[in-house]
Amino acid sequence: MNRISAIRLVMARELTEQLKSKAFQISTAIFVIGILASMIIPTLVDDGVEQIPVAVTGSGTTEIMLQLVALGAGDEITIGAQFLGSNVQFNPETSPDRESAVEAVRSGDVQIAIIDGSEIISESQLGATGDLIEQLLYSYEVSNRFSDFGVSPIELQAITAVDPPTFTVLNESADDANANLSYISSTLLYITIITYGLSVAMSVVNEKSSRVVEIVLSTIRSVDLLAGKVLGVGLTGLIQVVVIIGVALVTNIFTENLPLPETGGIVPVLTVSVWFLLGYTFYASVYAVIGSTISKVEDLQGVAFPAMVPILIGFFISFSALEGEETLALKIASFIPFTAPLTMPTRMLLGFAAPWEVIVSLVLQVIGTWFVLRLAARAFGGGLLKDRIRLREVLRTS
Amino acid sequence: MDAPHLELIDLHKRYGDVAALDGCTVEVPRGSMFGFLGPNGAGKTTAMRAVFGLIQPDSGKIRYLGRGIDNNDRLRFGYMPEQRGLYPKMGVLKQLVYFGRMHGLTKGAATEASSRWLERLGLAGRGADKLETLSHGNQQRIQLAAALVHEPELMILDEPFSGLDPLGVRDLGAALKQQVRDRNATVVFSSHQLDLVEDICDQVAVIHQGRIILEGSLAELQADSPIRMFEIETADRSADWLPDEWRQRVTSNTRGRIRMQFPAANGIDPDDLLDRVRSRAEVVAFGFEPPSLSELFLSTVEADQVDQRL
Repeated sequence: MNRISAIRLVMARELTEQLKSKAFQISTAIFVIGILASMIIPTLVDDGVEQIPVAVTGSGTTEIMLQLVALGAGDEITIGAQFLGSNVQFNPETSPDRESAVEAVRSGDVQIAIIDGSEIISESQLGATGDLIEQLLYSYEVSNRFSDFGVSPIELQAITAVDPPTFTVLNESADDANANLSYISSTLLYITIITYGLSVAMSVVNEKSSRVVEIVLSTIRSVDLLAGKVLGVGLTGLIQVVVIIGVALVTNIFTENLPLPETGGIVPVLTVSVWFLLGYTFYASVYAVIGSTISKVEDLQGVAFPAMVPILIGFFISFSALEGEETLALKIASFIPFTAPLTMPTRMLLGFAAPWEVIVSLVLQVIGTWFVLRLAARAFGGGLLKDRIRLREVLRTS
Repeated sequence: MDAPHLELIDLHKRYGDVAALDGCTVEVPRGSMFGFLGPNGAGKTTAMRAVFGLIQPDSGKIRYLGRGIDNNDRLRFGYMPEQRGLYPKMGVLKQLVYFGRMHGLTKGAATEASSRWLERLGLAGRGADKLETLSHGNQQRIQLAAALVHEPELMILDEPFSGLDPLGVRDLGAALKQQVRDRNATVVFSSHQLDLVEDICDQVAVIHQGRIILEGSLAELQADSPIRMFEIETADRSADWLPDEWRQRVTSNTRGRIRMQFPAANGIDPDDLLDRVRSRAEVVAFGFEPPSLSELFLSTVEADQVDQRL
């Protein structure tokens, strides 16, 4: 049997066992449910209109009531909705006098009472809704004054109908859409690189603790076992990443609440996939060697932690940049192979990175990964037939 | 004459201050049932691991059919390590197929061979079950099947009989002998229980402190041995009748069955020995035979230690 088929055999076993594992199925399910929930639920909530009952009494009752209803139906509601954060609709009703209007507020029949177009009464602070009504009453009063001067409300509307100012964001790519995308991307990268890196270590430790590794190594080289494992587990991770992003993109066709850049989903999918593969391979080989130094799964957390620290640092650095500010730390971290897989995708998606920077970072990452792989290939065999060995010893003997 | 199936030539391996192998040289003829015997810690596992390249000896050579050994040669070997282990959560059939393919079988051939093994072991209906759901005994059988699924021409089994009851030892011994007979395969197995396996192997090498101290066919070794065992049991099961000059010859006294060691040279006659006892006590049972494997081992180790002291 040649080495390629040996690697393929290990890879296929690793892939099927990983796909069959409860850990993979449950984590994929959680991701998918999480994405569906976070994308679909806001859409459902957005469609819901908040009904606000209002009691109106005294002078101008009819006009105010008409304007309240119009506020919930016309263009203004869009402005209002953004202002309030959700759709509202006012349900005005008349009240015989101030006393009964106040009573209606007190008993909770209505939220707001408007008296003589000049007084607003509510049980508690109204916030944005209050501002909206205040604005409405102010306009009503202004149009009354203009009527006194012979300008009808329709004429007034024509006079005041000016185009809203145009609004231009100079750094087009650093908008919310990309911030959301890179937030999702770096979280996904952070979770999957750690998860699948640890899966490789776990897979190594499991073969050691079940002692099957000695039989395996009697037929194939330790390097080929390492390669097969890294590829098999990595492929599982890639499948999960693609499934998660796929679910998000398909859901987005219906909910349209994941703002994508004009180029569509391809760029973020490619960015995340490529950096996942690079980052994963880099860390998976480190974790494989760490796994080869112990023989009990319980010991994994302790020995693996130091290798998780740079991932965490990279994640937090890229997280801090989502406000739209490119920090120096982010810039530097995006060229270091330990942190680049978590920080360069953020810079790319936020539009901070120049093409040459991306290329340099990719080249450095490939070189770093190659170096780590070579080191891992030599260090990996050393600890496999020993119960417990210090990492330093494995590296020295390699 | 054909080159030996496997040769270990002057292997040395040190772990710190301990010499696990100290000039170990063994020749395994093709088609033999080869017992690689010795006490715990004698170097058996180290030597077997060296055959598979799992450890690198500090010096010495390993030869297969008279030439150097490579990874492809090793695929025709079958290995059962001392520390047993398979994939606990993997299906039984699937993992046999996996190990078959690891040894270069095609998927079809591996599946066929694995199903045949499961049938032979009476586990045909359990191929889809996870290994960990099988009883301990059945897991042991699967372990053997994993080592033999690709019909290896050379089987290297580290302590295959440990943990087995006498029936299990007999059955496994018979199964291995059948492999040797049917396919002209070679079985090398290690054991620290010398008496348990002496009937099973036709060739032995006894290792002690990393060196081979006895090697050859059991019959030859016994014939060549400088000692004979004289065993006797008297009606009163006492040892009072023993002449003083015989007392130092006693190697064991099992409930009145007294076993003694005499030099084979000087033309010793069992009749004379028996007459001597009869004049002192009533004999109910007696035997005169070559030493057992463990007695050979002990007498050789003692002679060795005397040599070292001199």
